[in-house]
Amino acid sequence: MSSDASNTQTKLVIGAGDFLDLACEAWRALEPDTAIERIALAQDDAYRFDLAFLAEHDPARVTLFAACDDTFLNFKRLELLAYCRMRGYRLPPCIAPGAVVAPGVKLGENAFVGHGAVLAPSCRVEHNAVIGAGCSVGFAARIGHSAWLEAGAVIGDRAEIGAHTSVGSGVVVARGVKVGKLCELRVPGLHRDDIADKTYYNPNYPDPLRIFN
Amino acid sequence: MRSRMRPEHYLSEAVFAREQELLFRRLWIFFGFKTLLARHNDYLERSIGGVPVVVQNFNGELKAFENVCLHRQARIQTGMSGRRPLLCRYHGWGYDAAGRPENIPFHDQIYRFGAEERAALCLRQFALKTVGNAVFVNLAAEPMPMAWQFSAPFMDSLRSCSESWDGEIIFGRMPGRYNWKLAFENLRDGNHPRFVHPATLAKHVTFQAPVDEAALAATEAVAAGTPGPRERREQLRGFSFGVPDAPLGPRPAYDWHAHVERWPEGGDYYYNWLAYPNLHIASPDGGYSFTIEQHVPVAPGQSELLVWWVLAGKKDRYPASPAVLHAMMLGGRPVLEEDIRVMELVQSGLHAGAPVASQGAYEYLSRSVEQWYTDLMDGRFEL
Repeated sequence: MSSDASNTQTKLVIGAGDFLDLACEAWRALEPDTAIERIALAQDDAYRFDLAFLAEHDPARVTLFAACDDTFLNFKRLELLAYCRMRGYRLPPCIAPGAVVAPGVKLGENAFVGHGAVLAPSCRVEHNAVIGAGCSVGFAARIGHSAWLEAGAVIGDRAEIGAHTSVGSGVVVARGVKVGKLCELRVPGLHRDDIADKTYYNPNYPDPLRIFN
Repeated sequence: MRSRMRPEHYLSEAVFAREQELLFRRLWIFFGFKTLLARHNDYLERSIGGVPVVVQNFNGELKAFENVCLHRQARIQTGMSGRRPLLCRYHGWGYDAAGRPENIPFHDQIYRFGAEERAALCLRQFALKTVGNAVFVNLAAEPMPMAWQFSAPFMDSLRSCSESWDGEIIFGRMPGRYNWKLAFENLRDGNHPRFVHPATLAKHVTFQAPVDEAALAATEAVAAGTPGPRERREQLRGFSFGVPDAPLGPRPAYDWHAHVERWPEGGDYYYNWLAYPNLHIASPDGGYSFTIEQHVPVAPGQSELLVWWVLAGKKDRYPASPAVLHAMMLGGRPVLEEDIRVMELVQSGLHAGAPVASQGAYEYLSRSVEQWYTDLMDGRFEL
């Protein structure tokens, strides 16, 4: 089922890495009549994208999808999205085949729901958020903009994942728990308490990293 | 030249306890960042020399107290950093800026301390000094002047660089099975990066291990004699310094550079500051960012490395600054891991009968530290 009912005939899927390929596959399955063009973006040694090619396309005839992973706390993907929006492009969300999304669930621009993910009723997925394959997002849960849920992450009913926060595979956020923005939960396990903004659970450190101020 | 350090200095519980008493409770020890203490009731808490300490902002004035409630000895402030009154969670005792329990709930009904006993209740207060943005605490009853421990040029340099630190700080801990002294020995060793960090740090920066002939001669002269108190202080001051340690090659200009005010004295050098006994500060990019590291003694064969990263002060709002700090912390970790692994290699080889280290000419500063340290431990002088 297509996520965008327009008559756009070309879609540029731009980005890098595995997520670029995953997104291309999903869009090809969703919109078999649309020309899906995969564009792997180069970065200079200061990590700046080369986006000059966008000037060659017409935003009225082409839609985009920004497919970067959660590098730089998801800011690279947001940067891409912002650049494309400023140039007048639309970036509809993508629901991969096999995802189960309850009726009425709203997805923001450039959001992505992967194969086999399940989104319960009343949950919200804000712009630029990525829900990986097989994730479970509970009733009335909220996934903030530019968040990243790796395959298999579980978000409980009414839980909240803050903007730019990444949740790794094997992580379960219990019902009602609020995870702040700009966090990373990379250690498999259950989180039963709220997590402050800018807290990083990383397997290389015995305690979470924290940013103060 | 044979080192003065004996295996027991890295293995013995008795030596460890003596270090806690003679060094960590007598010297000025780095405690934290003034930018985290900017507002009334902001606090930092951690242990120094085994003593829980809190530094609290009382309407703009910073005070350092023993972080132990006088009632039932609960830790008053917790969680490293926060903002709340100096109030014990156990029974609500609230302390004022002098460390006195100004409020003891239900005092008249259930405590009934006499006037004299109540007047004597006061948290132990410690000396506190700030050098730029760096907060130091001294636990001694009669703390030495800071100028005995740190030279004026060093303090000027530390003040200058720390005043350029932004208020947003990332923090992490890395435990290791090594004696804390091995860290400073490693940091003083300009010859180790090429062997320990060939694919990381040394790939981008070339450190040298120069032999300062004048300093070497001076060290040997002091070693041959019997240093008096003035020489001891001069020795101690010589253990802390800040230098442009190695030139930096061409580097990219990252987007975030435009959003920060680079340290004005920063040039194209990898900068290192060492502050005895256990503080290391580095700027790997000529003053755009800084890492502050402290090797905290936990046990003779165990340390905890506290790592902070800060950017130079922001010129304007930059929403991605947490991502830069996060990248710095994770990017710097492999180098620290390599150092920790090699220190663990040293520690694991030490035993009561282990051979004493042999030192080359370039290790003259370590020899000076060792003379001072072993004389202190052996009771030949007092701080």
